[in-house]
Amino acid sequence: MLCIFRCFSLALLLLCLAAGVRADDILVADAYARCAFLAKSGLANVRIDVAEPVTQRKDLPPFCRVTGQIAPSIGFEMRLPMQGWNGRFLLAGCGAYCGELVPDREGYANSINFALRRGYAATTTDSGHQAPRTDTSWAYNNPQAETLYAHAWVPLAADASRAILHNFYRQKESWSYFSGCSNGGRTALKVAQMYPDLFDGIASGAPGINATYAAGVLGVFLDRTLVDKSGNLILREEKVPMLSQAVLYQCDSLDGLTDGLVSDPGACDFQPESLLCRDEGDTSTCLTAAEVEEVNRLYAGAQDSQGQQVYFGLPKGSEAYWTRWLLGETASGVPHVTDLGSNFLRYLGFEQDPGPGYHSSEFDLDGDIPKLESAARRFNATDPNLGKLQQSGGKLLMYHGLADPLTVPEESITYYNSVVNHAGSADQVSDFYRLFLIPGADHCWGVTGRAPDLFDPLQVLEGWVERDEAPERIVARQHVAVAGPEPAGPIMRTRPLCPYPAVARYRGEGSYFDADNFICQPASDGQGVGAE
Amino acid sequence: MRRVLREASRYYRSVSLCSLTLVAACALPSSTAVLPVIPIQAAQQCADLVEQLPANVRVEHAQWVDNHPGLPAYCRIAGTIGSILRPANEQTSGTFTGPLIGFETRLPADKWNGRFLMAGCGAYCGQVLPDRKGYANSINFALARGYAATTTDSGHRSASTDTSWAFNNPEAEHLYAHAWVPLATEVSHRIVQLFYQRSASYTYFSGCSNGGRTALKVAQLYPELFDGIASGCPTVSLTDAAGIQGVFLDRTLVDDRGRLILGADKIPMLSQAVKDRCDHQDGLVDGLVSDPWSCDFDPETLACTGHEDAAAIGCLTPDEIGVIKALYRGAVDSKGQSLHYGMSYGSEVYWARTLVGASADGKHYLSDFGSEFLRYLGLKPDPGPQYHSRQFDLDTDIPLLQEQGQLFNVTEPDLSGLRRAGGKLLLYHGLADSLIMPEQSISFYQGVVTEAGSENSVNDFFRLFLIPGADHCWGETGHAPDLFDPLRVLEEWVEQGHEPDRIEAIQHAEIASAHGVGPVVRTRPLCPYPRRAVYSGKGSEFTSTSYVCQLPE
Repeated sequence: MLCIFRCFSLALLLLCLAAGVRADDILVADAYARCAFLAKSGLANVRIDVAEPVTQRKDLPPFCRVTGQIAPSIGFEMRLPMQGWNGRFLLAGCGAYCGELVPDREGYANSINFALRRGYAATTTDSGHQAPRTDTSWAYNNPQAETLYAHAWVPLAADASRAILHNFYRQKESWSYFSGCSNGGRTALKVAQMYPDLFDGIASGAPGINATYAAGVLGVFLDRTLVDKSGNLILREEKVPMLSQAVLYQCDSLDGLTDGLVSDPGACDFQPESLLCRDEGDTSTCLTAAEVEEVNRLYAGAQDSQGQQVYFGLPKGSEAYWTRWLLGETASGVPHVTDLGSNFLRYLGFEQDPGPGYHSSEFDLDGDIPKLESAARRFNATDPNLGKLQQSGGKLLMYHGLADPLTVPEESITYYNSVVNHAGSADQVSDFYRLFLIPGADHCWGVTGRAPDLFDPLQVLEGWVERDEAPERIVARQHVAVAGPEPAGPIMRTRPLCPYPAVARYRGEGSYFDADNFICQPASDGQGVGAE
Repeated sequence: MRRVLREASRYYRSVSLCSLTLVAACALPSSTAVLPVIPIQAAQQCADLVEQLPANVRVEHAQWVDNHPGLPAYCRIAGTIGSILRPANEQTSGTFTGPLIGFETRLPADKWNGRFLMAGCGAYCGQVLPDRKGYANSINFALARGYAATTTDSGHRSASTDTSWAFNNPEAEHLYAHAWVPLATEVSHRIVQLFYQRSASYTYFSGCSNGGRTALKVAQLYPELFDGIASGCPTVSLTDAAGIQGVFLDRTLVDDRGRLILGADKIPMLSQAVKDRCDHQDGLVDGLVSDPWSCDFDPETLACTGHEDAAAIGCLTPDEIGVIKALYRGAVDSKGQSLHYGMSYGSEVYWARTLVGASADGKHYLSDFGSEFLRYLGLKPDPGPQYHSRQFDLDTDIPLLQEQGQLFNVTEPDLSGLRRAGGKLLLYHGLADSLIMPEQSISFYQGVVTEAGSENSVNDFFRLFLIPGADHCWGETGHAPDLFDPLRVLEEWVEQGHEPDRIEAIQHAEIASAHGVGPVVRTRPLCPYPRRAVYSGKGSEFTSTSYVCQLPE
């Protein structure tokens, strides 16, 4: 190691070579110098606070770590491999309301380390403001920060990253990608719509496309549905394992394969009344009338005073994840989505922010939705015209868990259908835009291990972008242990994900735990996954 | 007589409190009395009783423990008992000074409920494990409810999977087989008497696995020793379960080079596939294989096609299928005649822990299971450390296990002694037990019924409860409604005369070892064999009150 630092001069370099130091080490030594030099590179619009080699991380290859701020206010961290760069660049989206730099976030959603390990140079940002990711008060009377968060941070961060990348490697990247999930998935769609030339490939996971609905209307609905008048959760997480298993027992076989998965939630007609408590005794293994009512309301979704559907309900088969997203308590004892609607409406949803005094209980689902129009224009990624992306040769991979209880899969399905309608036919879009629904999958791999749901979206995009291999199927893995976003335990099964509207069907022979024995087929009548 | 004792004990409990606490405190009206936190006398008495114990008891610890989380303050007496064996029956006459029995007795003071528990020990025993969790061969669950309780090492010191202590040591084998129980019980009773100045109102024995086998031995050989006996997942025939099954597993699980053929990696898939196939075959889709004998799962359905290497994911190689089929079939001789029961369908999820999981030293849990038993325990004389189970000929050598079988196995179906003594015997066994097959308990039960003439003539003192989906002795819980406290069942039966027509079992949400964690997912009745829990058609399928116990059609 000491030698590395002394190798800067050619003479010493030769000495090192003579001393048997590997050529790789010398490249790293050169990278040390270039990494440190980045701090002095004087890029316009970029303030670099730290530029340092990081070589002691056991879980990561040696990389040059660059942190700082991109004008006007975008905090960022970029990681550039010091050896074995694969010529690619990734810009990661950020989740929820962003505001934090989480460069060591694991998994595939809004993270960069999985790409860094494969040789990517990658950047993650806070989208232009600094606040906890569930906080919205930064947006109070701050349209500039809102526009940055909505989409405008992306070209700024992409340009700055490219300049750093070029300074470091002395060459341009061969391929560039954007990948994000949840809000990052929404941002990815905005990029596809507004900045179609910026990336070669875009991965959009579980996007809250209609943010004003996915955060606003759904938020109002959840604020009203999950808690009673005293603000206490009605359905508590203790009941979730029972509810989840009851749905599985009833609906596992409806998709034609008994495999421990509810692959076709649309076909599942589970009624929570079947678990209704019959007497006043112990209610730990049954549902009270209030709990049954809540579960029914969650499945039904938001309605106006006339009983008209205003927004989608939660998917059957998503119950196991309710604990994670809806009912589980945070360390402070507050349910995860407390005031989801209020937080959005106070500072983001209306043209004039009503501020901290506002509560979602004031929101009138009959008449107030049009008041979210200006926010919709800013945040929502509903433009069905992807013609420019097609012209620029970009590829858009969209994926969504069919058991996502936080951003329902209908968001992606509806958008996909709108793009197809706008283009005229599915054939018109399938060469640059495909949607993959993931049976049994949670929101952005929040909890994995329950379904074959794990895959690397960048690997799919690489094949599509770089080798023109349009994804006919994506082989997803299910690991054994139920865990967070990182796979744990051995692989228990593989299963293909299919381009919507096709679904994976078992061939009828061979192990049904092996993706090889499934084919992607058009959904038959009444069995369309996500068919509404 | 018992009722009189019970009434007396209620009265006596408050009196005994006075003997342990400050007299002045007891003189206060009970409604306002706040008992002194640490009864100084109790701590003193704990130390003092040592000197009044018999000469064969050596006490290493006599200490007052008042800071044990989850437990009431208790007196801890730990030490050894010199095994001056008395004849258990006519066959073993004479006395001799034998090995030492390590023991620990824990006696709660003011929270004593008047009961005493003697715990069995698992596998080959050899350790005093007073802080063992759960209900199997443990004492703290009882202590927490006010029991005085004793646990022992059964007369030797070694790891619980080690058998070398038995090398040419018939005395230690005799103790391990059953003889430690009356010795340790007598000493325990003495300690109880000295500490509380009275004897226990009710006494119980509870053990699982080898502890369950010991419990059955106690029921037969020492029927008057306890009011109630709980026997869980017993090795009714140790020579079958460790000898024949051990030889079979040694040959089946590993290849020529001693490497596991079926790895733990494949277990989640296999377990899911069996459930997928057979869950509904018992009449209810509930995530449980409640009737393993109606399951017709065929591992060939998971056969690899195309890529048959050992690294295959999501399918089974031919070698793996061979192992799985052999495990379901069980040990056979060279003519294919069955020698022991096969694994239950639905038990696969536990194989990772019991059969094919790797221990810290990289060996799988049951490596050399058969050899270990045969070297020092199964055969007479002991062939010793050089012996390997592959030398055992399943066609001709099984009779060689007979002599030791008489010592260890519970072969007698005659429980008339227990009936005469008025004792109650609760037998339970997980239907997904992959270490000791549930058929061991079923055939024992049927033997007793046949011997007695009818089910009715045994059911007032002996019942068997099978637990669908349950592992061996709660090794892993959370997969099935399998948790219950066997002592509570016995208390009702012994003390209240309430025969257990059903036992409420609980399933917790998370998979865990030995005791439930996470919220309750469901409750389900366990039913006295041969009855089964049947959904009544009304109410939540997750609630036990929606089920009735019925004879199978």
